[in-house]
Amino acid sequence: MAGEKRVAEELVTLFEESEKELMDLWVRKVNQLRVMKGLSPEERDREFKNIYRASLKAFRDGDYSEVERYANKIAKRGALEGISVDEILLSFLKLRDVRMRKIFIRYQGDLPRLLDALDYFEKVSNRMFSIVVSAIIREREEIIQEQQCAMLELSTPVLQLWDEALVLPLIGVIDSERAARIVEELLGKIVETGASVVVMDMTGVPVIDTAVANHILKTVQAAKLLGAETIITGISPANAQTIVTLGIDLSMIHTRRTLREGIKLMYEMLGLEFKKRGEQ
Amino acid sequence: MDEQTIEVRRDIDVILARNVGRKMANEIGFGELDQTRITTAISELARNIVIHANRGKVVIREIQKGDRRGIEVVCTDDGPGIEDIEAALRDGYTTAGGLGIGMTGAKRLMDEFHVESVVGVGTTVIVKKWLR
Amino acid sequence: MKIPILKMEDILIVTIQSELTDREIEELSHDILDMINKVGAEGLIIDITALKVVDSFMARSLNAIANAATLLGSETVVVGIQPAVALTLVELGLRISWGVKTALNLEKGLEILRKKKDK
Repeated sequence: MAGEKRVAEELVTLFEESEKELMDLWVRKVNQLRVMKGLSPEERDREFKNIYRASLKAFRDGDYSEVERYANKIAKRGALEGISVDEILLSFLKLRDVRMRKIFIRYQGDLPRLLDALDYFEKVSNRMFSIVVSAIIREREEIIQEQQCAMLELSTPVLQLWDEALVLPLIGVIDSERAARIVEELLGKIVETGASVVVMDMTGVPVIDTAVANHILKTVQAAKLLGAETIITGISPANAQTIVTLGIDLSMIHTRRTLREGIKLMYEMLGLEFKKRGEQ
Repeated sequence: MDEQTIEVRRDIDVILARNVGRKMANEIGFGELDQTRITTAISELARNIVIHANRGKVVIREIQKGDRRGIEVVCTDDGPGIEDIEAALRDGYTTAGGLGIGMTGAKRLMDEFHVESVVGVGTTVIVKKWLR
Repeated sequence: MKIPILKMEDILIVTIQSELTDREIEELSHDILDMINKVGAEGLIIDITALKVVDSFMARSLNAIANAATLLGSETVVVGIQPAVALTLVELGLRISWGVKTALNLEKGLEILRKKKDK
């Protein structure tokens, strides 16, 4: 291990001494790739210098905290300003290339020391690369999650289709929390509008599990206590199968295959009928 | 933190207990729906005391765990005790007056449920609900 | 306190104004059934708008009143169940057969009974 410490020191000295040269080369190479155009030259130089120095710390004593901080920062900025994953990764790899070349030049003619230096260099570089990739992935996952949350929070609209008739088009994944909110909202709306029929359309719900099915059942029962009948439409064949397998009793629920059929039934229940003008 | 004890002997005490429960649930910050769930659970448990025991009490208090706040209801009675708790928690179980729903119902409405019973000594039911 | 039972044509209307003890509920059941028998009412509406809690005992009692009233030839509609109460009742998991019809409010309750009569 003492050997590794010596190698580390040598590399850090090498990278420190040749900072100006390597930085210039790195920036030029990155420019040739025509990436990182989102940053102004000054900004880019500053960021690159920071990365360069942060990575020196990692080489010196295996402290990756600075690298991690920068990786997170860059991942976040990249996501915000539309810098692609490609651009970020290629830039990092370019720094690696530039330094690797320097190592070859420094130890040419001394194969054993070159191999030692490469061993250590590769180890630290690989680790840094994986930190950057992880940071980017984490950032993207966070964004996806935020977007999912935002979608879930899109309050499910309860539409008044006719006097005393509500339509509730359910869309997307329904978890228990969202289901609970939908139930409350619907019951409130029934009271507000005096609805006597509710059409609940499930066409946009990909998966129905036990929890969702139970919430639906609860909704139907509670709505009934408020004097409103519920018609459920758009249950997909797969979901129908799930419901049957789960042994949930839907006998007290009116179901129709499509929203169209459901709305027809709704008008029937309201005692209305559709007719073409002039028809008897 | 706030705590209130209601002695339960007669059916009017059931109403008293749930009024205290609703007031506390409201103060802790529970919404209308959760207030109704908590109050209903208290009603079920307090009534069990009136039906199965001579006397008992309902203690309602605010609780805290980490940064979560909640409400705890402890119902104690000197009744005959429950011989088979599991059976008592099964749907439709009933001993007196056809009210088997009491404990299972309270369990469904609350987040946590705990029961201890010694035959001939009495029963203690503890239920909790946490603020979301 | 005695709960008044109003008679409107052949329909009885009971409005529960405050929380009732178990004994008061039993008395009320008795009074209602007596009254149905006496006046031969064809419909019964129980308005529980004021109730913020309906526990299993209350629910069973309402159901029992409705079932008995049906036997006496009077259809029952419970009106004014609050949304939170409705959901709690469902969650309570009562597995009773509701012999009782429900409606949002008194007006809709009356509508149901009238429609029934017209048929």
